[in-house]
Amino acid sequence: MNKQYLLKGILTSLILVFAIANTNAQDYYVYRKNKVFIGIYGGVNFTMPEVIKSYSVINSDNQPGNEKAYTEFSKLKENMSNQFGFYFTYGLSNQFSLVFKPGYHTYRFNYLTSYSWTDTVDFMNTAKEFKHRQNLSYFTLPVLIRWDLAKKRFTPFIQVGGYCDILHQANKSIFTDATIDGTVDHKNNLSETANQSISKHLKTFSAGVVGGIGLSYYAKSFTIGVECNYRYGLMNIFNDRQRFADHTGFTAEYLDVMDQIKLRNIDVQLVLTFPVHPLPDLNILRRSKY
Amino acid sequence: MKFRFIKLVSFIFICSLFITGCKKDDFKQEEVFVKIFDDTDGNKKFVPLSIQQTEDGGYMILSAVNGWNIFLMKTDLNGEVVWKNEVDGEHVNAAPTLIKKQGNYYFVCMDRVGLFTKIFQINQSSGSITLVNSFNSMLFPTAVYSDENTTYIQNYNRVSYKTEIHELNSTLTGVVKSGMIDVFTSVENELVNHNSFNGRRFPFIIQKTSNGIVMTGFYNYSFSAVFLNSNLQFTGTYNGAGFNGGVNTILPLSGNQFAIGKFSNDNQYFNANCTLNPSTIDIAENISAAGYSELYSNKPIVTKSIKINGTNYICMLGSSRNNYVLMSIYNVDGTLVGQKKIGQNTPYTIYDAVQTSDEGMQLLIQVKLAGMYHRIGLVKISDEQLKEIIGEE
Repeated sequence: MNKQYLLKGILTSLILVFAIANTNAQDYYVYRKNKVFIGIYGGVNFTMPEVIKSYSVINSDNQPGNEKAYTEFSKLKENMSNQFGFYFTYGLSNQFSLVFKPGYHTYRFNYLTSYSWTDTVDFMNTAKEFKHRQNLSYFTLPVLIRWDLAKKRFTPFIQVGGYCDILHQANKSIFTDATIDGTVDHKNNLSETANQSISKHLKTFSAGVVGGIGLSYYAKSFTIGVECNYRYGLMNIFNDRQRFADHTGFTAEYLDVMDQIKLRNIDVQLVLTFPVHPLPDLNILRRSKY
Repeated sequence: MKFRFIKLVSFIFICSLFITGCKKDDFKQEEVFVKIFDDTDGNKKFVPLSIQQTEDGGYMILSAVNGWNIFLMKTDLNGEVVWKNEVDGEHVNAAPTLIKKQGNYYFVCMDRVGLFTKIFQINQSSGSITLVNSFNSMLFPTAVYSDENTTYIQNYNRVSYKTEIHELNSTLTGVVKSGMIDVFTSVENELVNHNSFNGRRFPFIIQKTSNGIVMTGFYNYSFSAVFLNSNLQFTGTYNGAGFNGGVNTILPLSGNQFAIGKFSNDNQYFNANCTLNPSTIDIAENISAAGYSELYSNKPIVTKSIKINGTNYICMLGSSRNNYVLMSIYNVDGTLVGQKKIGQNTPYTIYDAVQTSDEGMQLLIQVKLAGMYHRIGLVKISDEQLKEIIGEE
């Protein structure tokens, strides 16, 4: 079901991109060969962690909430975070460009756990529901080959490549309430909150492949565009040796250790770039001969 | 410009991929883990007692449940439960040491009605238990020591007000020799509270020395460390301050050298290498030791001889008032070489520890979940972590 939604979104975006590109007949074509563009980008992203192996502190026959419930695709907004950085492209030809966009990328994902105990002697029944929110921030170094599908001022493009991430910092927040109902309202005054760094639990480096689509508008001395990329993490991000080291103090208090996961991430971002070479020739547009 | 840009980008990216991809980690999950064995039944209260590593790399755990009832559990090497057995309520008050003898596992307990001592063998595959023998004249068992050759059981004779010590034969079916020391006063109230897990627990210990045994128990109106020769005859003592002071952990090192922990009211003290005279009559207050103000003196103190990187060390574990377990590692000369705080925020209490076949340590702890539910927990420390503690890596 999740994949169907994703596929529909990508197809719709592609159709839109081509439609815009084809309906904008212009007098100019874009000259990209040997041109260097430098710019900035920024946007939002949504993370879908893929659990490689699940871990638990609790060993119990009768604690069903011990299984982590990760945020469903329909509630992906909860996993929204942001990214920004610099954008460099070099035109290998008029159609193909090398793209390098070093930046800062923050991933967010959530999951729920719950526990209950029944005490018939002291009449002290206890229920605890925990919402675990992770924010992982990386310096990211993506390198992509970009294929511009047209030479017009509105140009759709497709890009593929790889990236590696270098961990900057990571933290975890746990929100708690005393009702097991599949949700923890962390804006409610009755809920408790705990925050700790989980940087020591993560591997410093991570890498993956990335692919996406986008649309650029070429003005005389700058370009502006929007792009959507899917990042597919190839590496496990948590350090197995540190999993139970309890750097957070959450292991027994919140009965929490991190699963081993790989990150899947969709980003949507705006890109603004400027041609920088050759300096006297800032105009990147040429009159069409036809 | 073209090639410089491409070269720069390619260089950065390839270097990054190399850094990320080249490190191979042969980590195995059994090296480090934390497991808490929970039950939604909030009425249950577990007090772990003893742990042994089994031949298959897993762990056998002896625990008390709901007072003096007995709970047995076997886990695999990752701490996953293989079987659990809540022992019939006729057999209660397990002495806090699992016996490992010739590949078999035993525990010593008490008959609920007759208050006499029983020994059971544990079936490693199923967890079922088989009675090895009953010792009808051995009332109130308090401590047990066993190695491959000898087994000792300490008990309290409520009729004669004596602490007794018995050496068993190799099949655990008969008594080879016995000894006894005078308490001179009834300690039945203290023992009932101890046995039923409803009050203060006393640190009864038996250890084998080079020429006899040393044990902690009731002697001469106090909780004392008492030396006996190989015929189980009294040779010397370090008397406690009534029942509110004395030795609460002792590990023979060599000759007259011992690692000891002692308590005085709420204060806990350690000396990882001190000289004790087995033929003296002295008071425990006179044993010099360093104070550990953060540790509870009325919770178990565990002392083990361990090896790290092939070198012998002494590991002393106590439970702090700040909820963590404090692991202190000493050279055999008694010099402190490293400490580690294990756990935080949620109360951890240490009950036993064992060095594992991979040269790590398995700690048997009690965890207080949600502030009130007492559960058994395992904390596995890897050999790498032990090296880090003593500053080797």
